[in-house]
Amino acid sequence: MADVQLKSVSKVYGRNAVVNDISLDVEHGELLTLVGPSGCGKTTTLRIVAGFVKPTHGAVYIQGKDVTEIPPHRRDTGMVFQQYALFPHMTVQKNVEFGLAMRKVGARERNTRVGEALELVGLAHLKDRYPRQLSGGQQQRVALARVLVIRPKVLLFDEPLSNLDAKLRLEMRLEIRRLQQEVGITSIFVTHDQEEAITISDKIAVMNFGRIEQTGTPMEIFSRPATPFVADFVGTSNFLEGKLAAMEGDCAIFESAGGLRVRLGPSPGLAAGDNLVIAVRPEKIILAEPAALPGTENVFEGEVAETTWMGPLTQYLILLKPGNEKLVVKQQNLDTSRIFRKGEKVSVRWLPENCLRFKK
Amino acid sequence: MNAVSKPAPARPEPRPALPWRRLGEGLSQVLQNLLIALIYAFLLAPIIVVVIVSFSESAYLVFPPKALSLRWYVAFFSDSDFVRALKNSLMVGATTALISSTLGILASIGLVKYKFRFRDLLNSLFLSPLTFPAIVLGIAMVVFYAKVKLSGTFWSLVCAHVVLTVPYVIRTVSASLYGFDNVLLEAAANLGASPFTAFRRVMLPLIKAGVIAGAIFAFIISFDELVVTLFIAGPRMTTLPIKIFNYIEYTSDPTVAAISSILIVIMLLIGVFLPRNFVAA
Ligand SMILES: Nc1ncnc2c1ncn2[C@@H]1O[C@H](COP(=O)(O)OP(=O)(O)O)[C@@H](O)[C@H]1O
Ligand SMILES: [Mg+2]
Repeated sequence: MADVQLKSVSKVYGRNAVVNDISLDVEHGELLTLVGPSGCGKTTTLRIVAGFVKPTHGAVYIQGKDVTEIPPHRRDTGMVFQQYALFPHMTVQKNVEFGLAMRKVGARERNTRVGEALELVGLAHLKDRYPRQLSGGQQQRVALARVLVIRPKVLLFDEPLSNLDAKLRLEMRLEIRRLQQEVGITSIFVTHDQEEAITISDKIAVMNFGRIEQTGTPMEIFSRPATPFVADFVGTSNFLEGKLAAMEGDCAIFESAGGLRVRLGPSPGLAAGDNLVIAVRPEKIILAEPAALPGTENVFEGEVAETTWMGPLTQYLILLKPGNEKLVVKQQNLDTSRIFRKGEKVSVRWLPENCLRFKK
Repeated sequence: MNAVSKPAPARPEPRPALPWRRLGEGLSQVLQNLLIALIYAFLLAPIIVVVIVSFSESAYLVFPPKALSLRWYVAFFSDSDFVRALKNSLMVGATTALISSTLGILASIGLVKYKFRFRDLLNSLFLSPLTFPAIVLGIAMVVFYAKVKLSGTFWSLVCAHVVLTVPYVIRTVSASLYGFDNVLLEAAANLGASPFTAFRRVMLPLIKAGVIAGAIFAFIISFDELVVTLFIAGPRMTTLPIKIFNYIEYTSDPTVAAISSILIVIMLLIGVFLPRNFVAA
C-alpha cells in the first residue's frame, strides 16, 4: 500500500477551492514532486499532509493510518521550509537535536544521532554555530539534518531551493536526491521549477488551479503530456490549433487554422474532422536554409522574426507561411551551426512522432 | 601586518583656521557642554539631594546636612508599619508583574498573530487604561470592588494594578512578537513539540526581551502606584507609597528620604542590570 495517500482532498477558502479534489499515492521510498505555477495550491497541499491545514473534504493517510484529525506534532512528518525556519536562538547542534528531545531520546543516543546527521550533510564542524552565522546553503543543510535525524515517516520539502543562487541550487538538488535515496524515506517535494521536478523525482504530479493535471514518471510527463497545460509547463511547447483533415492508414493529417498541413504519428482513436491542438517542443525542430531540407514531410517555410542568443542555445521566433503562425525554435550552438538573423527566410521541419496531440 | 598597505591618500593640508574663528568654535563647544550639564543637573539634582538628606543627622529636612548618620535608615527598618508596607508593596508588585505578564503575553499573541473582526477595537480597549486619568479609574474601581465585596484586600489591589499595568506588557510584548516568525512554531510542531512546548522552547525565548521589559514596567508601576491604590487599599492593605503619603502629612523627618534612597537604588539595579543582561541575549 502507498505510504502517503490523499483521498479526494479539497481545501476551500471562502468560495475559493485552493485545493480541488486531489488524490495522490506516494509509494514507500519514492520521491514525488508537486509541480505547478505559483499559486496553484502546492504549498497548501503539502501543509495538509503536515497537518498545518485541515482539509475541507477528503482524508490523508500516512502508512495506512487516517491522520486527517491528528495534529501536526503527532504526525511524524519532517518538513523542510522554504525559509529554512531554523531556531535562531539555538546552535546547529540544538536545532538538530530538537526533534529527538521532543521524542524523549536519551542524551547519549541524541548526541550520536545528531553527529551522524550533521556528518551526512557535511556540517559536523559547524555544530556550535548559530544559524545567523551560516550561509544560505549551510542553513539549508541544517534544516535537512534536522528532519533527517528524526527519521520521519515522510519528508516534506516546500521549494527548499528557491532561496539559493543558481549554482548552489543545482548542487543542493543533487544532494537532496542523494540523501533521500540513501535514507530511503518517502518524500513529497514542492517546486514551481519543472526542470528541478524532472531531475530529482521518481514521480511528478503537475498541478494547475488546485487540481492535478497529470501524475507520472518524469519521462511520461515530458514525452506524453496529458493536457496542453502539462505540455507547456513541462518544457514549454509550440501549440497549433486546427482539426484533423484526413487519415492515411493510422497516421493523421492535421490542418492548422493557419493552413499548415502537418503529418502526425500513429493516432489511434482519432477521426477526420476532430478538433485538435498539437504541440511541438522548440528543441525538436530543425532549422535550415530555405529549401535545404531533404524530404517533404512536415517541412515548412517561414521567416525569422526574432533571434535571441542564449549561450549554448539560440532561440528563434519564426513566422510560418502561409498563415503567419508563430513557432519558437531552439537550436544548439554547435561550431557548424549558422545563426539566422531577423528577416531571413528559413525552412523548418519536425518529425511526425514529435507532435503531441490533444483533443479539444 | 598589512604588507600591501596603501600610502595614505594625499589630502590637502587643512588651512590653518583664523585664531578668532577657532576661539568661536571652542567657545560654542564649551557652551554646548555646559548646557547639557545643566539639563542633567536639573533632572538629577532632586534625586541627589534626597539621597544626601537621607544620611543627615538632623530631625528636619535640611540641606546640606550638618552631620551624617544612618539613623533614618534604622528608623525606617525599625518601624514595623513601614516594613509591613514595604512587604505589601513588594508582594503586590511581584504578583502584579507575574499576572500582568501572563495575561499580556496571551493578549499580545492574540492581537498580533491572529486576524479577526474587531481586532483593532480590542487592541485599543486593552490599551485604554493608559489614557484614562488615574483618578477616574480609582473611582470606578472603588465602586466596582464594593459591589463584588473585594475591597481592601490583597487581591483587589493586585486586580487593580493588573488593569493598570497590562497595557505596558502588551506594548512591549507585541513589539517583540512582530519580529517573531510564526513558521518557527510550525517547525517546532513538525518536529514533535506540543503547542505549549513550542511556546516555551521557541516563542518565549525569542520574545524574552519584551516579556522582561513588560514585567519590569508592571512591577515598577505597581510598586509606586498611589492614586488608584489610595481609593481601594483598606486600612489593612497599606502599600509603601500610601504609607509615605500618610507619613509626610504629619511628620517631616528624613525617614522618607531614607526610603526614597532605598527605592532609587532598587530601581537603578532593576533598570540598569536586568535589561542589559536579558535583552542582549
Ligand atoms: N489561509 C489562506 N486564506 C486564503 N487564501 C489562501 C490561504 N492560503 C493560501 N491561499 C490561497 O491559495 C492559493 C494557493 O496557495 P499556495 O498553496 O501557497 O500556492 P503555491 O504554493 O502553489 O504557490 C493562493 O491563491 C493563495 O492566495
Ligand atoms: Mg508555495
